[in-house]
Amino acid sequence: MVRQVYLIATGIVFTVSIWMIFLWAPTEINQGQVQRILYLHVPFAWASMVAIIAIAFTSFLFLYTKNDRWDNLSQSLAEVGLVSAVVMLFSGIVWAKPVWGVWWTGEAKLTTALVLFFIYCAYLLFRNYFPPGNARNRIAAIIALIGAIDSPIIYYAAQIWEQNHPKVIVGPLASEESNLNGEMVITLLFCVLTVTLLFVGLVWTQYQTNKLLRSKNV
Amino acid sequence: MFKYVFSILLFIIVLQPTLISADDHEDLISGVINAISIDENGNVEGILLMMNNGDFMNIDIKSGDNPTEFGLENIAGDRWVGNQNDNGKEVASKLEDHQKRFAPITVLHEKGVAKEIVDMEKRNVSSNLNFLFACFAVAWIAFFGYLVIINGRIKKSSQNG
Repeated sequence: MVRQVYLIATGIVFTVSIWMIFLWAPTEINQGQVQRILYLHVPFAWASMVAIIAIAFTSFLFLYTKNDRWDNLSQSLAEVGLVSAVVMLFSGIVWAKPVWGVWWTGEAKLTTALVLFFIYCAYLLFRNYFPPGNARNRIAAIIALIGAIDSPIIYYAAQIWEQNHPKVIVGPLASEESNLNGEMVITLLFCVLTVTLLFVGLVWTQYQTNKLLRSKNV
Repeated sequence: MFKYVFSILLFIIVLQPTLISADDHEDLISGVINAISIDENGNVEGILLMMNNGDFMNIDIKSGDNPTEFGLENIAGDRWVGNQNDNGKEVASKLEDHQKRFAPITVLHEKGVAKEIVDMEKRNVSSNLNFLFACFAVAWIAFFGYLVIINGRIKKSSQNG
């Protein structure tokens, strides 16, 4: 019952967010329609950065308690985090071309985001190719704990190294000079909520699937 | 279960045409200034804009609460940002400069009342729609592709069970 209500609520929120992105939020005067990528890029960036912190937390709990469910949760978070990182990177690359004139620059924010993608890849590749067992799970947990250091670096990168990428527009470091108007901010926050709901739903589904697979040793 | 979710989504999508008007509240136009109306205090009341297609449009300039914001460059490329509350005469001076130079501007307006006036964007911003489409298409393909992968795993575990 809870799962059904969650699914319906997520579906409604998702549809409303699509309406807000394309029909309600005003067009940005300098970039035009392409600026609407913001409503995809920022929420998925948020999801991928929070995911690696969550993985570090659950990995720590696994190392501390030796309970396999924390390891399972770490793995589920990593898989969904990887999908989020792919969307974040791709949307950023596609947005950079019309706005900056290049697909990619080697600046800190972009490079650290790419490193996050590689951390997810390394974590999941390690899990898939190392022989199953406690040693694998422990080493994977340590990889996640080290990898989580990247998340705050990404968040602070635009503040520390002022380059092309705009400064943070959401969160404690949000710039007061942000030129987002009220409707844009509401749309952005609503999209963050939507992606968070989708993220939690996917992680939960993945967690249940992994649990089933582990119980049957598939 | 999915029948209900799909029905709700379909219902909302069908309702969309009545909601599209929500986007009509703001519009972007570009063109050159044909005439400027200035009151006795030196504040700009409005401009007559000749648009790209040759049509004319009166644009009102606001001061006081929520004034029209300007971002205009002079011939040397120095950008001035401000509104009539900051300096009304500077606004008039900048607009007259643009009028004399036939420098095109872009206006974000709501029912003829300007919210922002800036130098015309040199790029054709509407031509970036393919980037927008590519971005959202790939994002949702990745997202739903992942759902298919999860579904495959569930089926695999069911078969082994």
